[in-house]
Parts: sequence; structure tokens; C-alpha cells
Amino acid sequence: MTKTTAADSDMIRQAILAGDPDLIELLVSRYYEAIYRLALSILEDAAEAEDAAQEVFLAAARKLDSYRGDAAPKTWLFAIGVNVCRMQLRHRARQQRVRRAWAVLRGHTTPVAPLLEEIAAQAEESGWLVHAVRELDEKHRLPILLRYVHDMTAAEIAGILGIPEGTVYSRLHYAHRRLREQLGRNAGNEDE
Amino acid sequence: MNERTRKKVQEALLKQTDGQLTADQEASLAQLLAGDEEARAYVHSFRTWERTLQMELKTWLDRYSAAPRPAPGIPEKPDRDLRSARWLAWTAAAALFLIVGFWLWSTTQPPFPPEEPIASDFFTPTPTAVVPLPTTTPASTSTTEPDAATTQPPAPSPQPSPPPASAAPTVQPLATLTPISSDQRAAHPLLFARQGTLWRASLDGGSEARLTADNVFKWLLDTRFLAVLLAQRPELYQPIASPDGRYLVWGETQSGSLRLLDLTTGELRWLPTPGGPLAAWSPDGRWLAYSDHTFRRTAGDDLYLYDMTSGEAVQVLSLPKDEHDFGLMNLVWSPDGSEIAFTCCFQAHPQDGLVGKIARLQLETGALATTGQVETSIGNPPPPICWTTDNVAGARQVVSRLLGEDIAYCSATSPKFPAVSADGLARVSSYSQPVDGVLEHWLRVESREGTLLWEKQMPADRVVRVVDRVYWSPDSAMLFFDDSLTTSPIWRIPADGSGDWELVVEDGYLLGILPGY
Repeated sequence: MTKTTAADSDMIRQAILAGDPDLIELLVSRYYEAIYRLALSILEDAAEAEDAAQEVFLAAARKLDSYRGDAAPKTWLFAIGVNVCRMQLRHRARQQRVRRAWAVLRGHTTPVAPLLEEIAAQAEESGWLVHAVRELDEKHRLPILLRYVHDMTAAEIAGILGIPEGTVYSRLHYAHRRLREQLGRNAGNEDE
Repeated sequence: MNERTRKKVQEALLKQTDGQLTADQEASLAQLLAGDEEARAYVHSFRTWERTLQMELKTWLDRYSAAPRPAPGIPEKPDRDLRSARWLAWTAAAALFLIVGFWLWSTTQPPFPPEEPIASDFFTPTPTAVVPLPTTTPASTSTTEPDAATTQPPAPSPQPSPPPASAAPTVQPLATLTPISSDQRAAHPLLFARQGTLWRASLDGGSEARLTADNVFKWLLDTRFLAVLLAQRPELYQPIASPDGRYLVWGETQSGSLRLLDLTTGELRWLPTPGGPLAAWSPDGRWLAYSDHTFRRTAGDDLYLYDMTSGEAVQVLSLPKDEHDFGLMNLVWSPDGSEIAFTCCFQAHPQDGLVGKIARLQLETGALATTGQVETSIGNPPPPICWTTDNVAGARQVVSRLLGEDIAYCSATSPKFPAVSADGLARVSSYSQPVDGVLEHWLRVESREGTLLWEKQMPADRVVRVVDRVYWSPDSAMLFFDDSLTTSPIWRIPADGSGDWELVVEDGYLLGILPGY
């Protein structure tokens, strides 16, 4: 992945504001990998992450006029990326609800849900800590991912999620506490 | 310390990391920590926790994102049917190309020797022929100090002539190496890195000597970055010392190329062909085998041998790009230096996930054959392999790092697990397992026959990540290890399990125990 320096970032910012015709190519070449990883960390599905990353750049192309240059281009793209992924998660949840309803209609008396063994196997495969992060609600999981996977500062996270910086600290504090509590518990007793 | 104070301290630490802590806040944090031992413990614990969290999450994502996927391009969203049709067309074209290529190749090249030929099912060597090399000398035990001025002229070219090596290596003397006498070297056999600087220390850690100026290795040994890389593929990025301890080779993390450092002169070279971060020294230290493996590459892997005496590289093998992009991995020399084993050629298998070959290349004759297979899954690296003492390459399951009956007996010159003592009587390995949601790290020592001699949990509060390598002292009396972070200690313990953990170096990244050079 090409490392983007502050000077690079400034150059791209100027290119956006000046309406450079090669801008989208430039953005893709610089940030595609980072955006793909962001999407992958949230969606945990390579194909969906690929689609989401493409959607981010399409959305960016549509929103170029609204970019004011306040945030770094990467932060701006991350904000779009988080929104695209959130929409995808909602879409997935809707699909899941439909599938469950369909399963019930077709005569399965219990809704389709992952078995505890499957959850344990998934946790074993990806590591207990990753599993614990996965179990956090979206409000607390996103700051953790942005901070510790994508190396964002608290101010950047605030910009991406559209919340005050103080709220970022609170959410991180809560998430840390929850993770440590969860990991301290016996994995076998976890049934939440 | 109540929850409110914890939250305030945590916020200050996060701001400190972001460089946003004001002078006043810095001062009040320092004041709090000065007078409160519990607060200091909390800071240490939180920083360790953050490192662990970051490492685990990044490792997980790196593994995930290492799975093959389409190359990035200008956004376009063809529908799934169209994509499927394109995929089928490309697959058909690639298959046709391979079939024609293989037919052309097979009409012009003699087949590999008959010992279980690899090309029979899914391994398809490209037209690049294996170049036979002169027999390497047996593993040397000499501790004679090599001298650049008296090195022998390059060995005669093998027959047939090797392909021309690429441009001459770029030599970039560091000029920052502190010369130390051979007596000092013998007294300081422990080689380690600390904050981007190379150091040597005595086996008890009582005496240290710095070898390089500050930040020589900064780009490589950034704790956070290295921890992630090591957790992902330890065999690719750990610097490897030559058997005589004179040279250090490592994969450059940004370009994926190999760098070679002469510890006696400070001379730093790039290997003369664009290489990958995968290398292995021959037991006698004359040859450095390396591949040009890079992630998400478009071509297959080539295997090179770099001759330390002539400074020239010879390409000995070319592999096609495999379906799952693992390419040539796990390079290991046989203990007598006559063969190289590696894993390659992974294919999807309906029941077993991904199945790859263990291949062995006979250097004198150029014979290439398989000796078995390894299994892994998408997103996970292939399991490491090592040589048994009778020169049969075997696979090791990497899933639990627990040793079993099927585990091969590794060479002492290639410090992959399990590492064999210098006297050949015992082997040591490390494994980690989650207990009540917390990862515990253990050391296990077995006899040569595989009988458990002892096992012990490593210091729980100080070893924060999986220990990849354990080193034996030259007299096989002590075991040394660390968790590959430059900010955590290097430990030792008597090899008979009689004593307790002893801290040797407070903060360092152990590179090896090199009494010789």
C-alpha cells in the first residue's frame, strides 16, 4: 500500500478543490487499499468489502463538490466508507430477518441462528479478542476498529463518526472496559 | 483508583499517543503517576492491553485481507452474472495458456527425475530449468573469523552456465558500526535489537555492547509494525543471522526486498534481484537461498541462490503463480546442505481446504520432487516445514503449536520450532492457548525421542505475544527467548527445567546467540 504523507494529503486536497480530472484515479491509487481494509474490518466479508470500497469511490465522485477541505482526504473517504458499511450492515440485517421469517414459514419452528458451537469455533479461529470485539455493539466497535486497526486519532474518529471528541473517549473507555470484562470471563459461560 | 480516575488517565494516554496532550495535562498526569503506584500499574497494564488489542486485530485483518481478491481499479459495478461470465472466460483462457505452455515446455525439456515427479497432477513448472550447482561443503563448525580481504575467488560457474545475475548489489556502508574485538564478541554472544539499534550482551545480561548507532533499524524494528508483521508471518520478517553470525539478512517491510548486513564492516547490501522477504542460509553459510515472493504479485516465484563468496545470484527454479497466491514458502535447507525443501502449489480441495505440496530440490542434480502435502485454509499461511535428522522434510501443524507424534525434528541451524539443542539430545518448542479468555504462553522441552521432559508457563505478566523462537545456548545448558517486541524482556531458563525464569535483558528483540564471528 502506498504510504500517504502529509504533503501528499495536501496535494490531493488541492487536487480535489481544483477539480482535477484525474482525481478519482488518484484517490483510488492512494486510498483503495485503506478503504478496502476499513470495509473488510467492519463487514468481515471480502466480496462485500470489495463492493463497498468501490461504492465509496463512486460516492466520493458524486460528493466532490461538497468537499470543503476541512478534513484530510483519507478522513473524508473513511467517513463515507463507514456510512457505506453501515448501510450494508443494515441491508444484511434486513436480509437476515427475511431469511429467518422464510425459514419459519417453511416449517422450521426455530429461527435460523448460529449454533453456540459455531460461535465457539468462529471465536477459536479468529482469536478470543477479535471475537470479543465482534460482540461489541456498533457504537463501541467502530471506535475500537478505527483506533486500533486503522490508527486513527480521537479527533479523526470524531470527524468520521460525526460525534464530539469527548464522546469518542467515552466510547473507547466503555469498549475497553467491556472487552476486558468479557475476556476475563470464562468463554464457556458466554451465551450473550 | 476509581472508575472516574481510570477514565481520566485513559483519556490522557490516548491523547498522549495522538500527540494532543497539552503541557499542563502532561504535568498533571506525571504528578498523578509519581504519587500513585496503582495508577502507574494501570498505565502499564493499559499500554500492554492496547498493544495486544492492536496486534490481535491487525493480525486478524491482515490474514483476512491476504486472501486473493481482484486487483483494485477504477470503480465499476458490473452485475454478478457479468462478473461470473468474465471469471469463467479468464479461467478458460488461463487454462488454455497453461496447457499450451506446458505442452511446449514438455517437448523441449527433459523431465525431472522419476522420484515422485511433481508435474503429475497440479504442479506445473515453468520453462525455467533448474541449474545444477556444485556440491556445497558440509555444515561447518568452524568459528574462524571470516575476512573480506582473504575470501576465496568466486567458485567456478556451474554447468550449464547460470543465467546472468542482475545488476551488481548496491553497497551502502552504514559506517556506524562500532568495531569490537573477537574477545568481546566471544564474551557477548547474545545479539539483540533495541529501539532500532543492534546490541550484543553476555549470556547473563550483565554486560552489553552496542554495535550500531541509533535508529539504524528503526524502520524495521518499530515495535507496533514489527509485532503485526511477525504475528502474521514470522518466517518472513525476522532478521536471520548467518550460521557464523557475521551476516544478518531480513526482508524490507516496505519494498519486500532483502537486505544483507555485514556485522563486521557495517556494509549493507540489497540482494541483486528484486527479492521477497523470504530467505534461508545454507548450513555452511556460503549460500543464501531466497525467493522473490511478494504479496499480491502477478507472476510466480523464482528461487535464487546468492553466493556469499562471489556476490552473485543464480536463479535455480521458477514456479508458476499458484491459485492462492502463497507461492514458494518455508524455505529450509537440509542439514547437509545438499537440498532445499519448500511448500508450494496450493489448490482448493473440497474437504481439506487448501492443499499444497512439500517439494525438495536436489542442488547437485537439479532433481525436483515432492515428499508430501500440507494443508491450510484461505487467509492462513501455510504451515511451516522443517527437516528431520534423516533428511526427510515433514510438515508441522501450526494450528495449536502443540507438538505431536507427527512433528518433524527440526534442524538446529534453522531456528524454527521445535529447535534442537546443539548436542542434539533435546528439542524445545513454545505454544499458546486461551484459558478463561486469556492467552497463556508455555515452553515445552522434549527428549530427542519425543518424551516430555518438562513444560512451564512463561511469565504471564510480561510475555504478551506468542513466542516464535527459542534459542539454545552453545553448551545446551540454557534456553533463551523473548516475545519479539523491542520493549519487552529477553528471558532465560536452565534447559533442564530446574530453575526459574531469569530476566537477561530488560528490553530487546532477540536475534540470535552467535558466539563465533
